[in-house]
Amino acid sequence: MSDIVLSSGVRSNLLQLQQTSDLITSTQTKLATGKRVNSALDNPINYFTAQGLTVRANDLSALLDTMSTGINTIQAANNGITAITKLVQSAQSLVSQANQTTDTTVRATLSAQFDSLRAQIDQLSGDSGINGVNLLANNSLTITLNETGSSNVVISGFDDTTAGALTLSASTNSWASSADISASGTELAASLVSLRAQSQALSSNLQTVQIRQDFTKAMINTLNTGADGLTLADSNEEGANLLALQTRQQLSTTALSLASQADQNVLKLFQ
Amino acid sequence: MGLKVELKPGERFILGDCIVTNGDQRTRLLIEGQSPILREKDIMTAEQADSPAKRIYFVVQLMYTSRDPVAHHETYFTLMRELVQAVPSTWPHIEAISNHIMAGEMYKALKRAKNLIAYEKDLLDKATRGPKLKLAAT
Repeated sequence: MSDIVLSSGVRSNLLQLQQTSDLITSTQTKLATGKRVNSALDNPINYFTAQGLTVRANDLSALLDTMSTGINTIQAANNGITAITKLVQSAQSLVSQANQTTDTTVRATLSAQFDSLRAQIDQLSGDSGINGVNLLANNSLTITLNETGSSNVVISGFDDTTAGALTLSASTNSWASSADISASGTELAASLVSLRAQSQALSSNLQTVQIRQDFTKAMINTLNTGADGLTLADSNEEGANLLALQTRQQLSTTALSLASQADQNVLKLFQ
Repeated sequence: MGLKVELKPGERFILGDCIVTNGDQRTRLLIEGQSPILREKDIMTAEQADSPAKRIYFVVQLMYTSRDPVAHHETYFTLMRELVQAVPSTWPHIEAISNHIMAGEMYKALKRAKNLIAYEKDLLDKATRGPKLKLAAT
């Protein structure tokens, strides 16, 4: 019969497991003899820390609400930009129709349609807000990202009116001359460019806030599980728990996944 | 205002996606910009990360040096949940680290993770020394 050879890693794990079970036994003995301080009265620090955790969870929930409102506001503005972009594109097709004719009455009709599209753009940008914050009416939005308020995202709005950032003037001379038409055409092209830039800025802000929102949700979950356990804590017991966790993690897939994540990273060069 | 780094001969550090290795003399560098910078003494390798708190430090370090930090959030939360459940008193540290991560201050998060490692070491020392002391007393 051959001997079983244990690698040094496994042996040290076994050793730790043995030590851990020793500690657990000693903790149990203390419990049985009733020497351990057990109630909230005996351990006020831990008791109040646990209460603090619950309060923290509430603070974070409030933060989460602000983030959700913020996300809705950004989305409303983004929808507004999409709709305005469509109106600008319709206006562009009016310009190209006007370019194809020399009939001044047709051109006048088209220019009237152009002016009514301009009015619609102004209405849309005025209606793109939520809770009194309209990013397209040059309002800015501040979203707090952590509990201390030391970190926040300020999203500056745009003045998306035809007289503002879009700089779309009303049609001149009812588009009688080609120069009048091309003036409108140039302005339309420029406003499309700025709309696209605004939309990009908004979606990058949106992504930032959404990541923070997910992070905060996960923190609240952890807080709630932490608060349940904290009243039971005692430094010996925690030490024992820590040793047990260390062993468990060594045998678990967490270590493996960490190593594989490190392989994708610049850290892999650092051996 | 950039960051001044003084390097010993042969010392390495991480700058963005690269590792910079110093030549055979002392060097002083001034670095400006937004890329993550990590000095050799602050770098933990996957092999060195062999305890719960060190693993948290390691994963924060991955977030700091990664182009896509969000990819590591899940691992971070798994590790932090395990630690808080086993040792609830680590919460103040975890909370500070998380707050820095939320604020995007990854270097500060790493510094706090270092405090967590020190706290863990205290607890582990007590846990391994505890029973022996009691034996000596009886």
